[in-house]
Amino acid sequence: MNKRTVNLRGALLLSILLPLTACPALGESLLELSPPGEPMLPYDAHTLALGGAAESRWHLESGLPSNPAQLVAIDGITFSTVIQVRRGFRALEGTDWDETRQDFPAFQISASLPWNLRLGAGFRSDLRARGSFSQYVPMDLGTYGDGYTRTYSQDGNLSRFPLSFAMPIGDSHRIGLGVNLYRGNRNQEWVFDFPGATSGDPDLGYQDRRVRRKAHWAGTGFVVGGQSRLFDARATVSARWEGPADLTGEAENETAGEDDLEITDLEGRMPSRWALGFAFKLPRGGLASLQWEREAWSQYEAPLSSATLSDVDRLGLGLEWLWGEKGRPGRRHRQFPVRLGLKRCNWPAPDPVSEGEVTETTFSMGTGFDVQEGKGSVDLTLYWQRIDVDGAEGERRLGLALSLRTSERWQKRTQPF
Amino acid sequence: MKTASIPAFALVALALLAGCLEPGPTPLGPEHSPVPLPEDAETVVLEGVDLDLRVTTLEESRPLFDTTELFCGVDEVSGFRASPIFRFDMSEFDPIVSDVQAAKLIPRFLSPNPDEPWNGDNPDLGKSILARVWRVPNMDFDTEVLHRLDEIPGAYPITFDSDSLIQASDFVLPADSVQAWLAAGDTVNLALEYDELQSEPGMIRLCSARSDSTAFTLQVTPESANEDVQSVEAFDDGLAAEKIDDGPEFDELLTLATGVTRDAHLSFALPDEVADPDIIIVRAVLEIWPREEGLFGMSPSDRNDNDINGLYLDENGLTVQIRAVDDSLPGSVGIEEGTLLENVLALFELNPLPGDSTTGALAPTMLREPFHLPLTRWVQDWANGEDENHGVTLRLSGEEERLRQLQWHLPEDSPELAPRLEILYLRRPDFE
Repeated sequence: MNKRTVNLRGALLLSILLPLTACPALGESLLELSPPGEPMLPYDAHTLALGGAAESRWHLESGLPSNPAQLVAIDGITFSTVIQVRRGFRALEGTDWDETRQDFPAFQISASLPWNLRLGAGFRSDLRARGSFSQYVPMDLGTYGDGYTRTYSQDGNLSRFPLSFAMPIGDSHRIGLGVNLYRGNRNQEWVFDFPGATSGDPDLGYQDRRVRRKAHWAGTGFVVGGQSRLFDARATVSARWEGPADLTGEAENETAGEDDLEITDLEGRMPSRWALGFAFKLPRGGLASLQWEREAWSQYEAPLSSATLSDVDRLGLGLEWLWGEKGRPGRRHRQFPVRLGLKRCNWPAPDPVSEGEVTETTFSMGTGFDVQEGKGSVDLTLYWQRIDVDGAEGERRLGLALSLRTSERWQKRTQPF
Repeated sequence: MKTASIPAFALVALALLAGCLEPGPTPLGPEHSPVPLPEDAETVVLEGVDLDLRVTTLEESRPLFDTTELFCGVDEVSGFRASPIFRFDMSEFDPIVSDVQAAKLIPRFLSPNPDEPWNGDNPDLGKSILARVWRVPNMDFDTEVLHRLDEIPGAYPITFDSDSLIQASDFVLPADSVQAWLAAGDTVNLALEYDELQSEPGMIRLCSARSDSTAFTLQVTPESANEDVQSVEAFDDGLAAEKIDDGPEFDELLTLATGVTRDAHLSFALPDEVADPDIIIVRAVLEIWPREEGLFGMSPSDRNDNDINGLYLDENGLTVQIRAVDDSLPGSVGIEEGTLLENVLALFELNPLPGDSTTGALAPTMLREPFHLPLTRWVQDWANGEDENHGVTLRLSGEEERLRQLQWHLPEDSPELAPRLEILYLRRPDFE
């Protein structure tokens, strides 16, 4: 390993670690306050660099498949994960808003089994609803002060835990089946912050009060996906369908004081989702991919209150070329991929500030390199998002995604005794 | 630096840029709240007649036996009478006494020397006292000991003893009476009563030994020299105590006292505004005004009787225990049943004497500000219907206090001194 490689990898490592240590307090997006939350990017850096249009790619470079049929491409045992860091800017009346956020939206572990079966299990974060705001309420409290503060905060997620099996059908077809284990939660809290106690006795002063609601729900939905190669393997088509899922759960509501809880049963239904993809080879080693996803959020039956939601159509376009010279026998590869992506979609919920419809456009650019002598990979993507809000100032985001895939084969190991 | 490293270090710079800038609070105003905004906090105040504060005085006899000294007498200031009662089982004498020559009620002192039984530490030595021994009917001390001795049917004096409290005086009992008790095998209750008309005023310390049920013994001397009768000890203790609280001075005062414990039960109805399960109490305080001349007491460090209008405090001062009552009071002495919560707070502050430069010296303490009873947690439970509102009890407490009393005003026609209940509350916000 030469000095330049050390510098490069050291810098990459620092770029991962520094944000983790520098901003332990994560930011809150204005757009997250609106239920059911803000759509996340549950993609690895490779998929993100292609605008999300990766389901029709025959080779699973990323290790984080959205289509269960892609599992067929894995070998041995593969672990993949991704970290995303982004900064957002938004101009509001009277103030500008900026936020820094880190996400850990997905990971996956996959394994090849006998009889050409593949198994994959992982985590995907689909929506996050987190945010807070404060309000000062003037009130004559005598010697104790001239008002109190009330703060609303919420924290919630909607996540999937995909569990999938896949197998090849001949040389040109693959099929994958599985389930999505949905898990949602939302914790809401009002905090009333009154002036502190005096005379050393907290009972004589005003008591800070909290009112909470903690809700969680879960459900299971089926997933089926497939891939087929066409035109002498020069093109690939893919399809995925995720069925609706009934949700059940409960909410703990405070009723009297801060200790008593009232349990309420919750019911809901996740909408169905599907995706169609098409990928084809370009001249000079290039690869183009297209993808259309549709999520029927208008059919979403939210366990808790939610804004009126719209169906989401997500279009993605990805391009990839290998840049550089091919490696010759006895020499290292001099090629590295250049990826470009464009993704455009609407969001299911309106903007909580202006209540206008939200449209997202993402431009992405990325690359990657192999590690573990080709058994693993590190991918890096820089993306720029334009969040347009109908009738209001939107948000601009600049983000960085870094993902890691590593593989290992089954090895029979003998005990040392 | 190699050229190829530049992009990598550019990433580091980007990471630093992204990581070091902390986001501020979300600038969303309440108009963008995803949930309904809560109603503003409100205050409700009840005072004087509107508050309708009802105070019941509770007396308790047992604390005198929980102290290390046994008192007998009358506290003129607080109006309490302390009359220790000892219960003896006459069938416990062994052998059976056929003819009684003499019988004595003997205090048990710390020192075995009858000439110096007090070890010189009794400040009441030299007092002229007249104590009588009464026999009172067998009764339930837990419920009936608070009546006056002379109003108890069947109680009668059996002996008189006039003396100065100089030495270990015995209380001689009539032999024929004791003979009759022995013959019947009865249980007898002997009470010591302090005759305030023929004695110096105040209470006296009778024993410097631990004042439990063994503080006094009954000794019988038989006429027959062949009988060696052992003394018997009282097997149960009790105390007759009463209060003299006639007159307006006691009607318009909230009084707490130690020694012969005097507690107070305060009850009031919550205002309609807060009687709601969705109400959240932020602060509930009952304010009562002290009566300056109502502070007096006697502490172990003060050997000169009561120190009116001033109180020498022990190191940790006095405390007032506030207890919520979680059940109806059984009669007038039921505070031991149904206490649910307890809160102890310091009531006084040392008030250094002018010119007193002695560091750490005991100094009189004065009440200088209204007493605020923190009732937030209990009012919360009452408002939400979690507990029934049976009021609270107040008790003046302290491990070392003997006789102390505090008073607060309860005038209904003086708004400036009337009790005042202030409640600040919120209505529980909705999330839908």
